[in-house]
Amino acid sequence: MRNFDLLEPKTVDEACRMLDAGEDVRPVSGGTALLILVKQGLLRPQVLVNLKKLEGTNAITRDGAGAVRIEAMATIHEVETSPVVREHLPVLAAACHQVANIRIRHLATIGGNLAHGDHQSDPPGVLVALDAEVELSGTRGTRAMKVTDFLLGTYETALETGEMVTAVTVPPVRGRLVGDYLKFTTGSSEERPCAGITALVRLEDDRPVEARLAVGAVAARPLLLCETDPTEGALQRMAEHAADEMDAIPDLRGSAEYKRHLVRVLGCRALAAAWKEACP
Amino acid sequence: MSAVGSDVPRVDGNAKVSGSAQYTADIELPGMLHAKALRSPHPHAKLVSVDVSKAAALPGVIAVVTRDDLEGLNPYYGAVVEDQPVLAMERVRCVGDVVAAVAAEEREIAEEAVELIEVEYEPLPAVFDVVEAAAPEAPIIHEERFETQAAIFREQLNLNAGGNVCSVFRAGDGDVDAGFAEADGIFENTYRMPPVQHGHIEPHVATAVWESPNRLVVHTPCQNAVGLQEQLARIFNLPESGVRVVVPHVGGGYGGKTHARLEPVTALLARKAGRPVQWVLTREEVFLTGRRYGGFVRMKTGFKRDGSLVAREVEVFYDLGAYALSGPANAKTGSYVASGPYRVPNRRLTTYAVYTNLPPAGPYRGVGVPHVAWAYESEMDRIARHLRMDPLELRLKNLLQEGDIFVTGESLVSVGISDCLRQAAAGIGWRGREEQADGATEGSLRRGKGLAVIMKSTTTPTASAASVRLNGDGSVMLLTSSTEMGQGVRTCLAQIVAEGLGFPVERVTVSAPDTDVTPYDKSTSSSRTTFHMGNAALRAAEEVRDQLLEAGARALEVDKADLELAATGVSVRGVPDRSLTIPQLLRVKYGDAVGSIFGSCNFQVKGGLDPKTGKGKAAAFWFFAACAAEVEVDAETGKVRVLDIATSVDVGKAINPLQCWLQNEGSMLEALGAAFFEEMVFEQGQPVNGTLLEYMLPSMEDHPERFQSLLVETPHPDGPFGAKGAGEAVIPAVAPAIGNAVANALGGVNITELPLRPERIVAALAERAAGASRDK
Ligand SMILES: Cc1cc2nc3c(=O)[nH]c(=O)nc-3n(C[C@H](O)[C@H](O)[C@H](O)COP(=O)(O)OP(=O)(O)OC[C@H]3O[C@@H](n4cnc5c(N)ncnc54)[C@H](O)[C@@H]3O)c2cc1C
Repeated sequence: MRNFDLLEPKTVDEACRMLDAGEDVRPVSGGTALLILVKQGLLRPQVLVNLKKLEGTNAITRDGAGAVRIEAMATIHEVETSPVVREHLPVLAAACHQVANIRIRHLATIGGNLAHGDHQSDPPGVLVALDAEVELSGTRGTRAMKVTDFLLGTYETALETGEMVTAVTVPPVRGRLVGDYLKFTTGSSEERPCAGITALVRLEDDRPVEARLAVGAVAARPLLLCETDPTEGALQRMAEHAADEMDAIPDLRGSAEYKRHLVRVLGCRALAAAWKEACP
Repeated sequence: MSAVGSDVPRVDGNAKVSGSAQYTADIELPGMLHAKALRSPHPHAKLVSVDVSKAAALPGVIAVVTRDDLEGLNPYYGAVVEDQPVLAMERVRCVGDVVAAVAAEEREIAEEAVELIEVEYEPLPAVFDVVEAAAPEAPIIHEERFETQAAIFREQLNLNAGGNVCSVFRAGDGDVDAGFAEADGIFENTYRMPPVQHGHIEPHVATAVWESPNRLVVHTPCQNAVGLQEQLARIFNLPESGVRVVVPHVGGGYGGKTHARLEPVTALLARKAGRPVQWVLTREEVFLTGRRYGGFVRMKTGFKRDGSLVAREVEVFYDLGAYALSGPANAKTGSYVASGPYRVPNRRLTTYAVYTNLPPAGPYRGVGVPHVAWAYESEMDRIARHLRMDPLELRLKNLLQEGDIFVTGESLVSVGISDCLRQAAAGIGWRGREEQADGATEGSLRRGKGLAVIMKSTTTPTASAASVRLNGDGSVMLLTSSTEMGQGVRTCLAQIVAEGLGFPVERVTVSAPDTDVTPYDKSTSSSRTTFHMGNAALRAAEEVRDQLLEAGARALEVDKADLELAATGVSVRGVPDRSLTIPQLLRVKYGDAVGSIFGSCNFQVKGGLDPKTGKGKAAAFWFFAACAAEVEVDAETGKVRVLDIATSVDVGKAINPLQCWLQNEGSMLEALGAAFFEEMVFEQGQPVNGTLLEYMLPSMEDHPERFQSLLVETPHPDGPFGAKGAGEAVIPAVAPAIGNAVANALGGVNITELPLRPERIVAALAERAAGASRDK
């Protein structure tokens, strides 16, 4: 592994200034993804800017309106075990719980997970289903965008040089969400997802008013489908539609055809389970 | 008996769990350099030129070695065929072949230097599929043939078979054509098994230092210290005593550390640098350094309506990769068991060890057996289904029995295989014929149970030597070249020595291999240590015991037979106050209470097979195992969950029952990974999943919901306390048991290629559905 300088900024402003210095500068959070790339010689940064020591960047809070804000340096483990997330966004807690293994979850951060842009991840699909936003800070200020707009493709995000992810926010939910995250692996149970299916039904006054199906890990970007007139038949069609729509990436975990097949089967199952929870 | 047969805690457990155990990579010698290799990016190419001038000029680089540095040495080595150059000579034969190596002050400098080496290759046609490689028109991977040094191999293998076929071994008996003619049914199928990783957590690593021009010291986690010593001595033209191989703690081997891997290059670098050199492989390099043979099996079986097997013809192709290592010997090990542990009157069994342009393989637990077991046990279930027979009954009807004459012509002893099978089947609640009936289904979930049995030989002929040293304070040292690599050999040997002396186990310390000190051992492989080294250690202990009793008898003026030996010393049976302590006995023996008492034994088993006829004595002992599994298959996604799994091994005598359990549990989980998802994938010889991110090993989360390790104890007349080897026993049985369980769950959908990836299962179901609708 090549040597590099490690900078340890105290504030986000300072970090952004350091990151703005050029192409050979990379931010590092948990380091679980980055250090592998460096060891394999796929990335050769001269300087690493350690974001892990920025002050106050791992809090998880909920405001009066019901929006949940997760600071970028929160580890996957912190998200998974946060009382706020568990109570208000159990589907996100469930997805985070299924990331890799306990050792990785204690290091990996939610910000790093999104910034890495690896399509074979668990949290992004769920965040897309929850209509979450990312907050980006740079030397030119702060901006926010939908997670779905942030993730551009495999290892491609909307991040610009000198920018970092500072938070993920989930807007308040009108009514109540039920449903779950379904992770499917084809190898060891600690493997990255072959498919990650989020199926949610939103209830207002105990009436289902919307169904959402997000498919992660299958294509370069998560796919989100929404149905504002949810019925059992409509949900079935949603899964079919998702399967047809997916631009599945073939790899050792499965062919494109198999992955689309999975989306159909698992999409149906996950939606049916959410529907059952919504209308017991 | 007190020490033998009890769950003595592992003697090395504390050091390993607490982190105080020192491994090879922990060694820091003064002035030590770090190595890095330049590896071939081509699967097969002529090596036109290697220019290391820029690398050698980089500050911090102390030595760079290439083929030019092998001048005056014996550049080729190998356990069976000397076909592997220390560094690529006139060509490279696989991606990862080492072309040059650098030793530098820091690892980063060595890495940088490697990038400065300029190599010109001229690509050659390459071949990757084992069957294609065996064909006469395939590009030839080794133009030259190399003489083996090891006499027993030369005598017992058919080398020089021609083309890329490194060796052929044939076993058989009866009249196969007549057998097929009298059969009521004949099945013919092919099976495939991919290469997999050993998965030892500690990578290959070595530290080498030349103490003088005639004295090389190597530290390495090697399973075969003496074999490595012999190979290094040959390469560097030294007497064996000029090479010292020391084996620190080992972080797993599984067969992958049985042969020289990176030690020759490390020693060559240290020689040129004049300083100690350490080389630790990265995981990516481990993927290019060793693996299990991929295999292709063609199997034809003739059977009678009552289920008796009448004829079997088997052809097996083992993919060696670029170099043979012990491949020809391992392919032989697969040959005579290729028809399974069954009575088959007429059979023709042939195994081929074949070079391909893939990275070299080498022994992996079970060596040639998993490949054939996957085939013959899948076939047994197909035959049972066809005949509507209980797969358990079908097996029991055909299984070998005590005293049977095997295909090798030898008479089998200590054959507990039927008991193993019955016990494993009972362990998962086997219900007989209905296990192959269309089972109850719940939604897309289908449950099924499956069985498998295996037998394996231990490498024969071999020898193991041991010395036992009794100190004046009554503590005991066993000097042995057996490697502790997680299997618990130190604990087991300590128990055997303690039992032989009548001492408590805590008195006995078992050495690590150090060829300056510890005597000859063939290798820690082939499940042979408890039997061979156990015998040597026991006899060495008995020699010490005899000397103590003799001294006691002389001093106490009684007959030896009237004395008993215990931790405190020698006493007259029934008269405890007529006794002598160990120091007193030393004084009797030597006139002074100083010195050591030594016992030693060179335990040897003769035998072997005639390569012309395949007859002789294949094994010092045979071992037998069964596995039974219950699975739940999601027929829509193809995902399989193992609900229950039981293994049963005939160990002869369980020296340490707890260790047997742990060994079998570890084997089960290791084999489970290979059954379900492990597979090294290559594209045109390039590794596709050559990292532990892409190539997954099973984790504890993959552990079946229920596991039982069952033991059968059919004492072996030649084993220490009746013990046989058991180390590898479970490995070959797991995949076929699971495959049969999946097939039964799906109403007889057989998958012939491992691993049982979900997509394969879905595809097989779709194919059957398509076939069914075509038939309509
Ligand atoms: C063995 C293993 C198994 C895994 N299994 C799974 C799995 O099952 N499911 C799953 O979802 N994921 C899995 N992962 C991926 C893991 O979730 C990611 O590695 C992790 O989330 C990345 O976070 P990090 O903080 O470690 O990022 P780092 O490694 O620190 O950084 C990742 C990338 O993002 C950049 N970066 C980091 N933080 C920021 C920031 N705040 N702003 C801008 N850029 C930033 C870095 O420069 C780098 O390019 C696995 C990883 C490993 C090693």
